[in-house]
Amino acid sequence: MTPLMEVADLSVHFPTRGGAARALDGVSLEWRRGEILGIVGESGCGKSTLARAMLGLVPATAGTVATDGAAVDGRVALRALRRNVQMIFQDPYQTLNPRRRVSDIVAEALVVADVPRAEHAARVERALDEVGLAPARFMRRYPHELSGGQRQRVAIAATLVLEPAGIICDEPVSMLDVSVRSQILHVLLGLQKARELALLFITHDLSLAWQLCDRIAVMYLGRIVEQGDARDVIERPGHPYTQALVDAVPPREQREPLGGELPDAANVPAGCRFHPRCPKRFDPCDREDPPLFAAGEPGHEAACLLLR
Amino acid sequence: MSEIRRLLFRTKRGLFGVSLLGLFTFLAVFGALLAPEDPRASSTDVLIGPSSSHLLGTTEAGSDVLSQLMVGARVSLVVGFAAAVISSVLGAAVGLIGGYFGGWTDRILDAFENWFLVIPTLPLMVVLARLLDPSLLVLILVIGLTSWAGTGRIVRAQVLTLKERAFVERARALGATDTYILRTHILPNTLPLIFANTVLIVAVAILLEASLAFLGLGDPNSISWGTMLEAGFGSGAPSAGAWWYVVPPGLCITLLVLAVAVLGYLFEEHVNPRLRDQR
Amino acid sequence: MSALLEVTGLTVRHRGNAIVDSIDLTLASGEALGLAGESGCGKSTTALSLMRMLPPALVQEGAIALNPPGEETINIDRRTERGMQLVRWRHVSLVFQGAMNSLDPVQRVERQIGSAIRLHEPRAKPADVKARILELLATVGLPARVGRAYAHELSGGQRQRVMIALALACRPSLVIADEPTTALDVVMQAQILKLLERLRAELGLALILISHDLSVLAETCDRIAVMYAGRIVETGPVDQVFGAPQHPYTKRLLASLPVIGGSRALATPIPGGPPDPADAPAGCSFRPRCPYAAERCEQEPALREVGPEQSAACHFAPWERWPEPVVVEEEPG
Repeated sequence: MTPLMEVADLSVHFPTRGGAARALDGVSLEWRRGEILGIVGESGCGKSTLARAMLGLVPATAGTVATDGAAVDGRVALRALRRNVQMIFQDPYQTLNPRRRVSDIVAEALVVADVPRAEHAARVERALDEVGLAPARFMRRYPHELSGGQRQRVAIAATLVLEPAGIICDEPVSMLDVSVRSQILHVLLGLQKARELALLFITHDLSLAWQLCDRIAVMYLGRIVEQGDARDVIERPGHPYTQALVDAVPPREQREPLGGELPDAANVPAGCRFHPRCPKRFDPCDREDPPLFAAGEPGHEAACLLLR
Repeated sequence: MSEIRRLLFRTKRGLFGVSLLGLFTFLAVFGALLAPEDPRASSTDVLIGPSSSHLLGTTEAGSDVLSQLMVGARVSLVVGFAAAVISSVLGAAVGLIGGYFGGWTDRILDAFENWFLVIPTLPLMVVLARLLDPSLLVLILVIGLTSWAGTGRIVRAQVLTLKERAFVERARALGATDTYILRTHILPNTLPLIFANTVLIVAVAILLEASLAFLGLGDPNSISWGTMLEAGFGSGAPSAGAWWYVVPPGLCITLLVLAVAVLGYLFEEHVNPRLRDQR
Repeated sequence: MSALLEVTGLTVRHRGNAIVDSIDLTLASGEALGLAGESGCGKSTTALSLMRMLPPALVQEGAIALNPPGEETINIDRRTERGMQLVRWRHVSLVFQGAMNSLDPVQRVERQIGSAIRLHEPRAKPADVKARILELLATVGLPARVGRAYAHELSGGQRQRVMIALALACRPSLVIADEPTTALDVVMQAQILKLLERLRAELGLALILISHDLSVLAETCDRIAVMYAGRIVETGPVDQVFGAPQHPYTKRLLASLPVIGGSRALATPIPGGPPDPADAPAGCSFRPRCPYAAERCEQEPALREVGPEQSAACHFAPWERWPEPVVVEEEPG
């Protein structure tokens, strides 16, 4: 079955004073229908840029984006894509226009897509119901009357009205309390099952990715360094960076955590981009930029010269 | 909205501003009807001090000062508000367009704005008022056109932050047009700021009108507090000791400007904490 | 030997409503106590009240006694503001929440650290101050050149380290860290936690670590106190509380944490949200959301010992086994 979205060699370079910032540097990815794909990495690794490039919010410097097998080029295709794939954002306190009511916010996608007004009310009510907000109580409220969790539910409802096939979730729960977090995840998973949605789940929290995702792609400095089935990637990492991420999740064993920091996107190290921090680096790592090699299980790949 | 109501009606500053402004607005509307005499009627009682027939004395033409004062309120307020509205609309438009679209549009508008910011207002107005036939309309236009740049700056800054907010990004992700985004997301969130700023500009406009009139550049056919001051000084009232001619208009200008400024800062205070933390 | 910190009956009120409701804490020298809870539970307020730094709208009561080693007892609750200025930073310091944005953007790092040092040693020689700045930077694992940098030139992790260096500037015996790793990535977080552990070991520092992330506390702390709606609902050694929680809130909170290698099924979420302090329910504050609530819970349960060094505020503790939860009406939180 053709994947919902497919990205090939996607690059996004921003010109900066210190040279080109290579926010995305040749990313190839498949997002299949109905699957929960996790994009994991530290901040600055390019995962948010990837999401935005996929929806055309950020112009791509190179590479292609395709949906349902057809390339997304031109405004018509982009418009169709944006109806079919929606996005929810990280900060529930910034995600809703403070001067609009919940019903208007949820109906926005319908307005932009020129759906006849007569249909709006029913769709908005259904969406609010699906996220657990009783329409009668919440339709007329303003964002400042809602808690963080409720705001995020509104944001999710706003993506449902156009019946998308996929939702990109950019750190949707990282700013919520633990108990509210699990409520929102429940809502998302429930929707995913009921509507057979595909979810692109962007997070820096590996344990969350472990719990939720079918497949995981690990990003480092604009590149995917490992991808595969969630359990394979986390239980048997093929890339030292993934191993370091897994080791860093608290409560951790008493090993030394990975040192250093993610370099600037304008100063990508030569050879393997991870080599300056890699505890397992050896001779060729500072010269050769590894492609993805097979890492054991089918579908599991990692970009490490040790796997060659 | 109730927070605004509280600030306006339950604080000392709010009550001060609202009552004074209310009084002057009342005068502006009904002044002509309630004035005891025709403000232009001359008489032989020239520069007489306050008496029972002329509560604030008379002018050098024998006209009733109190009547002139009451009628003069209208010009000050009309010019002040109208000019402030023009200034705000212009400034907001430039700020919105430049801030939202960025790039060359922004750079050009910004240069334009800088030009207006840098020009010394009073000399410019003196020149313009000299070149054009002085009338209230010209006065309003001149003041409006020279004071918009400040608003433009402030609005632009606000638009720049708003542009990056998640709800704007989301609208873009849905494929909304720029017009839609400006209309639905940017403008409504900028309006409180524009409003607060407008009120402050009213104060400035009132002062500018008075200044121009005082310099003899105002509309000679209208009576305003500024023209009263001009006539008063021109006819030697201060040296003649005729304080009733110049002190009341001066005091009125001061009080009106003060009231408007207090209200303006009140609104700005209401808007400001939310600029930083829109929770 | 008395404890380093003894807090008794600490209560903080806002317009008459208790945001922190009569809590007791003890901390031994060199010990790390974790204060866990979600937003609104009062943990940050508690931290600020230990330093008497609450905003004027909040009123605090209760005894806070600090016993720095080799010095006289300091009764924080009884000190004047001037008296507190001698205590803050010298004996107790605080790494604020969102500390990364608390650096002055127009001063170099070394200037800010220098100011902190001179707060309590105004007559220190410039050479000594400079040496101490370098020492502090080294202690937190930053290269000396960071001293010359401005805040915006540093990364989030580096700024957090500078904040920790600032907190150590006057050699306090107690450091309170309010959500020190919340805005950081998992690798950076691991580095900071490791740093805090090392500081404890090398400097004999006592630590109060505040976080909503229980797994972070599990790693760094000796003991943990779980707060809910302004009260401590459970406290005890970290391993015990995590291994055998005795309060339903703790248990549900732990259950909702995903663990790598553990179950991939989502636990049933706790419905609803924390109560509004102005609208506090009578009896047990957790009752509206508790799956095990019963009639007895209309009476407020006291925090009592239910195991070796472990206390919980629940009528039904100690729990031998957890019964089937009653499904609570889902109120969207």
